[in-house]
Amino acid sequence: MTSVVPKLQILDKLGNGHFGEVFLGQDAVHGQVAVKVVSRKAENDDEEWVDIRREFLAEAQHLKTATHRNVVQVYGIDEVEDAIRFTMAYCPGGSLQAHFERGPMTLAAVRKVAIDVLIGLHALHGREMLHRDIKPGNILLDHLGMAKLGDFGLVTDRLLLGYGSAAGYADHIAVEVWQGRGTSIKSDIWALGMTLFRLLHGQVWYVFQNECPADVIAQGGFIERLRWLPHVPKPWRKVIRKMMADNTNDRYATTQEVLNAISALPTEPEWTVPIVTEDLVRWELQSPKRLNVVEWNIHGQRQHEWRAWSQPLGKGNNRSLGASTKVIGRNQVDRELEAYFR
Amino acid sequence: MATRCVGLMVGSGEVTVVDTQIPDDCDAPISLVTDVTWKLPTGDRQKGYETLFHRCKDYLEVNGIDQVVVKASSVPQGKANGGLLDSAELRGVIMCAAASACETRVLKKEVISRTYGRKVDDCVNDDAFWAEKLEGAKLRKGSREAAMLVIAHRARP
Repeated sequence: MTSVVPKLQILDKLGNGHFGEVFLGQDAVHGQVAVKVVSRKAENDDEEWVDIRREFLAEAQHLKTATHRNVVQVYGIDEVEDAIRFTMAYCPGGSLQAHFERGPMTLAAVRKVAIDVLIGLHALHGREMLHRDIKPGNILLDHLGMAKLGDFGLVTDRLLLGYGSAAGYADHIAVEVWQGRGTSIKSDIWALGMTLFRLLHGQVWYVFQNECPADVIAQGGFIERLRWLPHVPKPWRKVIRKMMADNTNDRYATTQEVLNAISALPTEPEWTVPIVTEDLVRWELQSPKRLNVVEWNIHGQRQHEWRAWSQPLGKGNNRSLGASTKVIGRNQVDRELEAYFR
Repeated sequence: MATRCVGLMVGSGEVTVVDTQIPDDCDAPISLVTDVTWKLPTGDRQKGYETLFHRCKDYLEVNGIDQVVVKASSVPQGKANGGLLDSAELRGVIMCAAASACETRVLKKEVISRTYGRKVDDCVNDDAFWAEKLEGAKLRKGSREAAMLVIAHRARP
């Protein structure tokens, strides 16, 4: 007999998730969907594979209760040969990992992401669920640019045997989790703080100017070792530091508290940072007629120079707005640039 | 069964949220679940309104709130200023969000005063009144007017 209902079609590969590959699919009801395929690994014996499937099914049922505009909707789960397929809402804006890799996002863009994510996270926490894997790659943008949390709850306890060892994941593990105290609302808040830090700074700055978090978080004092881009205002640093405080009593207790703190943060002036390399950082601020530019040349660990100027968008002359008087050290360049951006 | 009731006082840049449990026993005090503030994000107000709309709706849905009482806008005794208009805008947003999630009542200050035969401001400043009417979590002094909404609603459902 002729089939009327078309099967789920797998189109392009979108990327690799922590537990499998993600594809773009075409579903008869939902249209374009994201399909996550978790394949059986060679080391999974029959009994283990049955257990894993049961756990994923239980998680999928659990996720049904988490329908929210800031959480990626899971439509269904099915089995295909030696794999499990999750069908989820497709977010055409992709994940924030790509934004992170491109460079620093503006304050306004990061605050919008933070608010969207916090509202979604509040809904999860209110249903007594944790995300446990908040990072740029797990925040997706829909067709309107609204941020949604993805890939939550799929990290079941039993599957967490490799917890903290996967690349890019360990950076988001709070100090108390490293110390074996388990995940909580506060460890989700910590991971979001780390996510915001990364989005504000972009990949190049994060990698070249900061120590590898996975190597140092467990020792404590990590927030004091973060290196900030000088245009990031003090109130932002204060909030992110509080989100990532080592002592959980010093950390925000709820997403509601974080939302209030984030809501009060300034988003102007809206500097963009189009260039961040190992030896140059460039900021730009556009007004209707002029472009303000700041450049920081990093000649070496202890040798820095900066200058700021305004240039016309049409005819006119450049105007100098400030500069270092000579080659200066790291602390001094931080101080001078922070003062300039203040 | 006890009713979960939230009192909301809206200012130009924030909403005071007093979340309570009203017991069936009319003589038993109201139990305070939580007393928090939702701040309007700085910057574009329209984006801030959208945020608070969803924040309010989510809170009421996630926590299974049965009823919301919002303090109504009132005509100012002095000259109307921008802050007053901002408050009224935000109040409309919050009323809409609340009404989309649960039963919502809007109470005028005069109604609250008539309920107790005394001015709202007197009640707000009367510590003994609060000791008698409320138990549970700690209520901030600045949130008493929002709690007053719940108390008045209970007295005159």
